[in-house]
Amino acid sequence: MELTKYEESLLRGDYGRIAQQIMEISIKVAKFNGAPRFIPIRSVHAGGIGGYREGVGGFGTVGIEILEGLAEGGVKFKVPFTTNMLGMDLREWRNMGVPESFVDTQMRVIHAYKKLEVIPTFSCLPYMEENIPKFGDHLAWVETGVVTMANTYIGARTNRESELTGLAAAITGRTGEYGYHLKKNRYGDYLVKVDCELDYADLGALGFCAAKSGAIVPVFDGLRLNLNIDEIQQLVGSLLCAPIALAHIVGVTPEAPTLSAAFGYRKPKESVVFSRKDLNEAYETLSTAKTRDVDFVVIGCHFCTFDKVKQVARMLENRRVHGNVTLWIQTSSLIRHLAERDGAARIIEKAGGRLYCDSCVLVTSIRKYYGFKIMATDSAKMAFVVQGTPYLGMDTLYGSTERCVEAAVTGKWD
Amino acid sequence: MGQRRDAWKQPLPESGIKMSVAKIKGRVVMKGNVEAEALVSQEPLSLGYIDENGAIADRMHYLSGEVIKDRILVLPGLKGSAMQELNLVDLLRNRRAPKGIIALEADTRLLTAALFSEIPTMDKLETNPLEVIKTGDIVHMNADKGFVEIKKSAS
Repeated sequence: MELTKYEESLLRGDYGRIAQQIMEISIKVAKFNGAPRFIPIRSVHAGGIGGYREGVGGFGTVGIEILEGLAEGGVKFKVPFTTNMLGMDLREWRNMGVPESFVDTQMRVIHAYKKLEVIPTFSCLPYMEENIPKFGDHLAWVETGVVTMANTYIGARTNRESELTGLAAAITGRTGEYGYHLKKNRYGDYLVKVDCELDYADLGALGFCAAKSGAIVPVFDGLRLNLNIDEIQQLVGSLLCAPIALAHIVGVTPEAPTLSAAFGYRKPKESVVFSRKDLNEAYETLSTAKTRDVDFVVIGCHFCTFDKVKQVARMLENRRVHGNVTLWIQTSSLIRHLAERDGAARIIEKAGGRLYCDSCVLVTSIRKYYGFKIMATDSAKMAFVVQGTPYLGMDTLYGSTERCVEAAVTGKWD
Repeated sequence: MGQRRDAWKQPLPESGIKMSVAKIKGRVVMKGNVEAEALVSQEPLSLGYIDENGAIADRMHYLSGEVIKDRILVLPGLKGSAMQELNLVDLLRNRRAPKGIIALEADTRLLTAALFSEIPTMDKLETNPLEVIKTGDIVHMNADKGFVEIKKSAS
């Protein structure tokens, strides 16, 4: 593998032991994956840095040591670098009920990242804000759902990097040329159709069904051509329960102008057709709660776009969130700023809802702080992840945004 | 529900080598020589959700509650978070890590996890390990020489 002078000096240890180690690993991983060379990348988007040490999972003390080791060695990110969420809202953490011990550790991560020159969005919508790839760009993105959006929605090219190979790519500006960087690996394998009209929540159920089908690169045919970004995020996000990093929507996403183009003019390996009954089964699987008394409602996974925040605000106007319910609307700091300017934030706040940014319940110890039992959400991805995440320990209810907001107001899932 | 197929449950292409062959060759990801009881997961697993006893805490996983600690983990691959390598080193420090890992095919995250934690790891065995190794088998993985053998079958 041909290396630049800078890469060689990293490998020699001129920038410290950690930089050397991740360089070694990154070269080995590229070789194992059959990459003949490194190629320049446009940017990196890393995983969330919230669950720093909550017993299980997350960034952990090991992650902090790596970042601090890199910062000490004097390296800087060579390409734009964003990360997923924190475990707290940087402004509203007190209202969130986050303990100060958590804040201290969280700030250590942020300081180390700042030394490396992170763009501090802490958002799962990098492709809408400060890390915007264009069609065909090579990336070394890490966070699972965001990788799939970059590949699917933009037609940029990235593998699911690991945390360390992502850091190495950010420092060197290059990553191994394998997998989804090569056009030949980007064609569909499964054809997925559905025999009914789909609304926002249905798209999450469909993604969940498709993920269970065994597809690696599913091609969705026959969906509405006017799907908006929230809807595409819902579909793409719910694919995460399978190792899917790229999908195509015929007539909607850039590498699928036609059905045959999406398959590279070859025949699909498999075809599946889902019916309303299949979708209903998916809704049931995504809803584990035995009773209908909701005590927690979360909108915004992925983070709400400005449109979505407005939509929720309209539903909450002149109404009041039920006393037994906590309503979280999750978005990025930039979109919250816009919502505050617009007045939507005020309406949500007046109704008793909370508009939080920088953070996501999936990476907080929400259960520990509040003891919520039943969470309603309009994100299939979130319902799925919450069920599988032991430290969140909540049962779920999955349905449309309207249904979730109604549940927040009445306290009942109807 | 439609036509379901789980890609990772499909057998690998016929290698012509029968199960009775003692030593199964494979690709070495991380060197090492270990012998331990196997835990075989037919489905991908996340290293993020392992509890303080070294058991699988993921409620959605069919092996929820099974201990991975000090065993040789046999699985199709990892699922979930990008932080697998950080999780694995964390497990190692807290003495909850597996002794060795055998995967169908290691992706970037499992490759990184194995290289960073230095836990002996192999993949691409010439016989599908998910078919020939059973939970409870005593497995010897010689990732220095690149082979796996079943020392004692669980009854």
